[in-house]
Amino acid sequence: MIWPPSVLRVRIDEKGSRKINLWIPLFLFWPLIVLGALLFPLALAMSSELRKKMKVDAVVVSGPQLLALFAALRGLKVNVGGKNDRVYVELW
Amino acid sequence: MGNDRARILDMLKQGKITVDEAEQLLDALGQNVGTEQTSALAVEEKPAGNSKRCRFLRVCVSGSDKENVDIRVPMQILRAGVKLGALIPPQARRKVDCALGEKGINLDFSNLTPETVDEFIEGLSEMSIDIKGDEGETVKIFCE
Repeated sequence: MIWPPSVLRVRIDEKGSRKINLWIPLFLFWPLIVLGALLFPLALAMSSELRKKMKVDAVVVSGPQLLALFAALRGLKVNVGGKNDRVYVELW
Repeated sequence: MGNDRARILDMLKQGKITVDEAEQLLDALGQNVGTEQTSALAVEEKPAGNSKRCRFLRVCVSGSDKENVDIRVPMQILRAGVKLGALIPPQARRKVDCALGEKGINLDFSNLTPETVDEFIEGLSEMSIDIKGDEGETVKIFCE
């Protein structure tokens, strides 16, 4: 099992302006994310357009798969810098 | 294994084979078992030898003017994405394939399975791209 990312760090450096350095504790949102993943299949099932096209088992597993995709984000790092500015995003 | 041994002893009991023949057969059976155990151990040891596993795809681009890009993408995203992509209804998938085809990307998503993605990732572990430009720009793509 892969645990979902627990902390998101966002850092934006821009020359001449205030630096932004955010540490967002994602673990506080885990219950909400799990709830969202559980409700997602229900939302899909309620959508009349998708209900005709998607198989029932596909709808049921879509929630856990979405959760797995979120968990897979752990370790993602983006660091883009220019002459005057820099954006850094990392998920732990 | 137990069945073979019992059969040999049964044949000895019935007098179909002599004691020497039974002994030879039991010895041969023991050697076979030994060989099977050795090959099983070899199979178990094989993955341990190939311990380098590609966990992240790293893209590093550095320009001449302090401009750089450093991206680390977990391979697990690819696996999870393919599993989620498999849930897309065929009609929608066909539309995606058509849209990609219009952009010149001929990729059939229906052929993309978690197994093929694993093979692809395994192949990527040996990959390393290193490009150097005339003005000091470098592009590095590798797995770690």
